[in-house]
Amino acid sequence: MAHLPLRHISISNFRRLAGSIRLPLDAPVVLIHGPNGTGKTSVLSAIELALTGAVQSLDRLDERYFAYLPYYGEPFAAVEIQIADAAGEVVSPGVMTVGPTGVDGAPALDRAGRQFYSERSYLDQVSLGRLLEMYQYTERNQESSLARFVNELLSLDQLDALISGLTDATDLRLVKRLVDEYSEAVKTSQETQGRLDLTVARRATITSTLDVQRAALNRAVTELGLSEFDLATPAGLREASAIITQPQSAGGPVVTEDLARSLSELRGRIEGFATRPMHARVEDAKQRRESAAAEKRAWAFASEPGLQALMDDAIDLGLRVGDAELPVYERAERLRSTIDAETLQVASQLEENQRVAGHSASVAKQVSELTAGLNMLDAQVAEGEGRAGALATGLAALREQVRGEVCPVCDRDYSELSAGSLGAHIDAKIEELTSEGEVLRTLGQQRDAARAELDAMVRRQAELAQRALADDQADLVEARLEALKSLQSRSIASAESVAEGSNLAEKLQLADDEVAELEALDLERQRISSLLGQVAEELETERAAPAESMEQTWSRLSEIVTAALATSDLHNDIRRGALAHIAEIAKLGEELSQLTTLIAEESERKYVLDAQVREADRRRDVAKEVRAAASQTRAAIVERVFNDSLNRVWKDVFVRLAPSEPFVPAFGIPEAGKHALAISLETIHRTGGIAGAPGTMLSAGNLNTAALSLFIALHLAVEPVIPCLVFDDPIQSMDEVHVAQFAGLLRLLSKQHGRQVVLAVHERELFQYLALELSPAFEGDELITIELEENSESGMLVNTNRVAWRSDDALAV
Amino acid sequence: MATGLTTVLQVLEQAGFRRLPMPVVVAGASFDFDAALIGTGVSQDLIVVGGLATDPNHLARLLSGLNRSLDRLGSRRPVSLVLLGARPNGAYLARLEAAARVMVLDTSEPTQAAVQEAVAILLPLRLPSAAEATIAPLDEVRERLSSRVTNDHRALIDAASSGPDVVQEVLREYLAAAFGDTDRSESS
Repeated sequence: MAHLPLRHISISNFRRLAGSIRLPLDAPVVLIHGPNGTGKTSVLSAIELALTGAVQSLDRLDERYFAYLPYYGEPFAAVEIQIADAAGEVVSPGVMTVGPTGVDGAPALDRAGRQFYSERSYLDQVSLGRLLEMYQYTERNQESSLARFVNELLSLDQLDALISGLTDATDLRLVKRLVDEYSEAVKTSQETQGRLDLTVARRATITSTLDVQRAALNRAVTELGLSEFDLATPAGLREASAIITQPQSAGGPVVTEDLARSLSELRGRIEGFATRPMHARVEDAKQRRESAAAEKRAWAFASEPGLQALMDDAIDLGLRVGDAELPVYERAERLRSTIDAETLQVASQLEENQRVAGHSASVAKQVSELTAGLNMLDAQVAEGEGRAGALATGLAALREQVRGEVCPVCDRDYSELSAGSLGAHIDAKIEELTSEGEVLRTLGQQRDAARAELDAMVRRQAELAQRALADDQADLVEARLEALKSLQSRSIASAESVAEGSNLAEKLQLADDEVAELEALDLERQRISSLLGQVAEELETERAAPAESMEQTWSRLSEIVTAALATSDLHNDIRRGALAHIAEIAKLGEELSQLTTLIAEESERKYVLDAQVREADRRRDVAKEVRAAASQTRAAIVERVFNDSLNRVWKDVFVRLAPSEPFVPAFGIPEAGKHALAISLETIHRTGGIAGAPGTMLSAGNLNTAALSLFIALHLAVEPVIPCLVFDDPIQSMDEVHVAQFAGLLRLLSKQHGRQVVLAVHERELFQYLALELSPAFEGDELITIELEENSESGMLVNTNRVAWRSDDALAV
Repeated sequence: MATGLTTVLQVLEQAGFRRLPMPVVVAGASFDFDAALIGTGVSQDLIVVGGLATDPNHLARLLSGLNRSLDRLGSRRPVSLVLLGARPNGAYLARLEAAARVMVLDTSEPTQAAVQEAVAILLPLRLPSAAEATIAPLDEVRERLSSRVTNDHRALIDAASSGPDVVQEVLREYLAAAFGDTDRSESS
């Protein structure tokens, strides 16, 4: 048995239906009949309300339609439906009540079921005539319900997401905008290429400059008489530089700075030499020296023995006669002053001795007088001390023994004298003795002074005695003085001879000096000559031409040097130039090497960047492939859905209902590339040509048929959420042929395609015809007919009839 | 047998209708149509084929007689007439339609397609197959790329279910990765 989603409905006081009725719906086909106004539509509205919680046809007219749903005069209406879920279980959401405040109770269907029932299962009477218009109605840029359905059917969301999301891949500008790295890499690659071009150009310039420099260097090398170098490597350049730096003999003599300086210095020496005595004068000087020496020897022979004797005598007298190394005349000269000094000294010694002797006599007399005075003072002091001192001491000792007036010495009572007390008497005696002590002290002092004066005088006497010569000594001194005076007169006598000796010695010295100076000059000449010779040798020329003066030789050599230096300067210039070339070549070579490295690096960088861009382009191609495949798929789906799912079914349904209509309504197939599908309706002539929209091509009857067939086609185009079709008197304007065809179609839908069909009709004949056409055709097939009649007494009469299948044996087969 | 009739019978027999021996006998009465078939399975249509006979009134009489006989026996079989030959005039056609569903072929020698169209109401609808409708569009894209499809293609396609912005971001990352990882070899 087919799945029957609708099973029973109980309705109370709903719209036209007064009181409560319970209607069976649990058959593949339910036919409801009633004259107009008996509540057919109310039954179908009650079913819609119970299933979906709303009555759409009324909602479109008045959103507060709830208030009008209860039977007139009743406060509330109630509906309760029983349905079978997808598993066949019969369920009921319970009673739904509806009144002025709205609906109370849950609809029987879930959201998807409600939407499907409202749009794809139930075709109310009001909607049929406006179906095409409603389907295509759009409000505020929202999709029309037809477009929404088609888009749901197409389920192109993911494809559209894919196509839209990959759009950027199709256009390089969009790719660059989307992927910073891409534009950056392309830009960097171009910049790198620009730098590469510049660097390569720079390298070419340097290479040609290098060629020019090398050619110039080779010219210089040739001019310097050298063989060409390998200039390609730094080592070769260093070797060339070293060789060029060395002084080279370019055919002529090598003139070093030292040589030139030596020659220059020789010039000063030669000039200095010219002002000196000539060589010939040396012999004259030697001659003069010989005669001076002879004169001196003659003097020595004549004078030296006498002078020597004088000196020997002086030595005997203990005089110093000077160093034996010194010449005799000089020693004799010095001896004279020594003798004079010694003579003077000895004479004064004798005078002093006489003066001391006089002093000694006077001192002895004073000593004698002082001794006598002292002796007298000693005697006075001794007397005074003997007298006063002992008594005073004794009295003092005695005074201590006095205890009364009785004298301890004489035992007499002093008081008898009436001269005071004994103690006072003794004290007065002691006082008297003490004043005599003062005189004694003064005497003592005088004696001490006299004794000190005597002591000093005695010391002076001893000192003088020491200084005074003994008499024998004095005699010796006087004898010495005599000898000295004799010596003095001999010395004075020899003074002339001594002076002559000194003169002769000086003359000889002068002669010696002259000879020495002249010999030194000669040596200088020889040295200069030798140096000139060396220079000449270095200059590879003859040492000295015969009869050529040193000045001439020097001039000749100087000319050679000057010429050689001039040549050397020229070569130095060339050499400097060559070295400059080498430096430039080295510098350029370095730069060339750097540029080559730079070119390699930039090329590598560019290669990497280009490879990345290529890889990105490959990836773009991948994205484009995906996008193209998505677009093709989209086009295919659109075509498939429109052709196969929509137009084919629509046509299939339409031609069944209007078999003689040449124009068949169809969806215009939208352009595949467009995202938002523009839904358009058209007609296609049975011969294949596309014609105008249904509204312009079809009769009113067939336009209705087109709408009805579209409704059924859309229901059939998708898997049914609720496999039932509910029609509210769709046949009112159909002619008989259409009715017969429609009945056949309902039969197919019910019996071939398993849809539960609920149909309300108001015409009795039609009801009867359909009851026959839709009668059960096989075991388990069933038909329910519900007839509504208005009855003035009970309000509503419901006649329900359940028709079961039975074997039809009318045909003898 | 006329070829037109043969074509009609072929189409209907292919659609599951069973041919009845002629004449058709209902409640003892014989009705001699050109041919007659009944539905099998869920169909109990009675289809008679006529129009080859010369007298049109005869066909109308046969139909109404058949109806009366069926009614007498309480049969609920819907009767359809496949009419060979030219479309008859309106009055006559109305007489026929009063008695049965009439499917006019408008020729004696219809093609098979013409017969199918005429009798379409008796044939099951050709609905799109469920399998056809359920192929996921993205699978179809993969299928379309077939042997060319790589993991790279797949990654882009997989992003589609998250919306265009995600696809664009995946594309951006995919392209950007070409610049981050130079060693990356082409995936397969």
